[in-house]
Amino acid sequence: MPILSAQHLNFIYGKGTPYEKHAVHDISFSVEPGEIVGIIGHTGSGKSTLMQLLNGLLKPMNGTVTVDGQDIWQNPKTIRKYRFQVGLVFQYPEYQLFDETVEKDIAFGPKNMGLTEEEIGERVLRAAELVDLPPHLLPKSPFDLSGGEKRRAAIAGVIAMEPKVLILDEPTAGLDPKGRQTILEMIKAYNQKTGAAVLFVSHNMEDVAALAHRVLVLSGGKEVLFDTPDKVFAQSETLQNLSLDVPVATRIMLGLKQKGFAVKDGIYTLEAAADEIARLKKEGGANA
Amino acid sequence: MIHIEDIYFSYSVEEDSEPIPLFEGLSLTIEQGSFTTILGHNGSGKSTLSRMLNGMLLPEQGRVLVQGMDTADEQNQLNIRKTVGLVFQNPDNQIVSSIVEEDVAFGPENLGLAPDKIRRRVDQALAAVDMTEYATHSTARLSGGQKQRIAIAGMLAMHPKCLVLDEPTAMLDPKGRREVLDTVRRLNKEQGMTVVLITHYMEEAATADRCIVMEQGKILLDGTPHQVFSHRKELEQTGLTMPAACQLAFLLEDRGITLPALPLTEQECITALENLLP
Ligand SMILES: Nc1ncnc2c1ncn2[C@@H]1O[C@H](COP(=O)(O)OP(=O)(O)OP(=O)(O)O)[C@@H](O)[C@H]1O
Ligand SMILES: Nc1ncnc2c1ncn2[C@@H]1O[C@H](COP(=O)(O)OP(=O)(O)OP(=O)(O)O)[C@@H](O)[C@H]1O
Ligand SMILES: [Mg+2]
Ligand SMILES: [Mg+2]
Repeated sequence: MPILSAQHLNFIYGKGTPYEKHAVHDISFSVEPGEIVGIIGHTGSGKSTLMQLLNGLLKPMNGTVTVDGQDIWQNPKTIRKYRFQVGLVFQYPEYQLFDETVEKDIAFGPKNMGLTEEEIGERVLRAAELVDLPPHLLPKSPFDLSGGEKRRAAIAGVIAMEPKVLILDEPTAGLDPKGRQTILEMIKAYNQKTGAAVLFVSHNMEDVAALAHRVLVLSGGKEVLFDTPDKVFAQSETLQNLSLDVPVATRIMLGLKQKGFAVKDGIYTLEAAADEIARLKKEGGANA
Repeated sequence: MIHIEDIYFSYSVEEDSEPIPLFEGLSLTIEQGSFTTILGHNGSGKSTLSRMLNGMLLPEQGRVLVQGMDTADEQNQLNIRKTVGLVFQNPDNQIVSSIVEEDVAFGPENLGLAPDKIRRRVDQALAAVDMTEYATHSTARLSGGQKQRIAIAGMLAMHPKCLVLDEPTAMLDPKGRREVLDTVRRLNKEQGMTVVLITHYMEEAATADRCIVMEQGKILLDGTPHQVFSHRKELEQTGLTMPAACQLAFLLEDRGITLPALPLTEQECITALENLLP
């Protein structure tokens, strides 16, 4: 059974006003336990809206969201429960951080789950360590952090709840390359250790190539593709028409293909590209 | 264009605690008409530095001169803000009006321009960031990337002599990222606008005239992209990396294949490989 499932989800902002926006249009997809799903789509394609529907922050006009087979809106009084099970890290950490200190901010979720002081303390330290947030920043006000430090704090706050579905809206935006690597590894480790499913929105095709088992592509509030990265990144023209792109490695291989080299398809990491170029060098490949 | 002369700056965390020094004798000159990118790990001081460039923050010691005007002199404040346009890291800190086109018009209005001129500038700026169809929308009801585009349009409409952008493409889709870069590159080339771009995308730095790498409030590396990106070790030690084309070149080196010169862009990489492969 899927851990998370969306069936015919629809969401309209400002219904009945001149600025009515059908932001999520009849979207259906399911996520299996332990799966990592990357979500890509142009600016304003409905990614953030969809993520907020999945953890019950927004209520769909129609359609259902189920977590572990349970319709999350069946009893609206219990909706809060799902916010702990489906943890969402917002696109802008400023929307999430609010407490006096970074430490209290990270502790907020676990506290609300009714954990003991000791457990809370442990979770805070573990989460901070996972996102590589230096301990000397814990007593600081979250508003006095740099952009990338804020993002790490916001992610730590959600990880500390140990949700069974972790949703991250552009988790690596604003991170330096090492921080980006750390967060990607953290997501992978969290997924592997806890078996939690992970959904993450990204404009960075490299992130998606590195992490996702499947990729959901949105455009204009609609689902365009939902498939494995090699299938999705094989459609470079479609993606470019949707304001998206393929990873750099794929673009370089396509460039070589256009020059007449017989390069293999389905290459989307730099490692694989290097292996393929080495093969071409050895075996020759201009006979395409 | 801008001279930063031996500045000192620290943030005080709490009233009674020791302030933590960030800049301790930082000096830097930004040449008129240049295109400079600033790289650096999270918390290295990039945003703080950007706020020094238009006088939003003042150094504790040393001085910052914008076209000869000292940012510490209050009388220069208005002129400096007109000269140096700063796009913040978080667009929410920048957006002031509730309607998109009013927000973009805010800057030009404060310059005292005629209404028809303002109109033209707003339309141009919105078109440059592909947000024309949202002109009359509410700024509160935008997606993350749409807000970022509006914040950029607001500064473009001011036609500043120097444009400072703090991670302007962090939330944009790949096409939007390319368009924003093309726009600032064009303004730089065609109108001689001085551009300072802060970014975590190494690819964006690859095509600049100059590339500065910050580490803990200090300048670690400063030079052309080729010079800077040849310091692989230093970059990795400070938490940065190299453009993907360079990374590929190094992966090839591990496999016994050496390219004649280090490629910085995809195009350079493809050309080099074309010449090398049988
Ligand atoms: N308002 C503030 N009060 C106290 N400390 C601050 C404040 N703003 C920034 N700092 C600290 O100063 C240092 C430099 O911050 P700055 O925002 O300039 O970094 P940055 O290079 O822009 O980082 P990022 O890439 O994460 O945006 C950081 O360690 C940060 O924690
Ligand atoms: N509060 C709101 N009220 C009305 N319309 C909104 C609101 N928030 C978003 N929208 C609109 O709904 C559409 C989808 O927005 P959403 O934030 O889901 O996009 P997104 O895919 O996350 O974009 P981005 O990549 O820029 O973050 C956009 O066209 C946006 O203008
Ligand atoms: Mg979004
Ligand atoms: Mg910053």
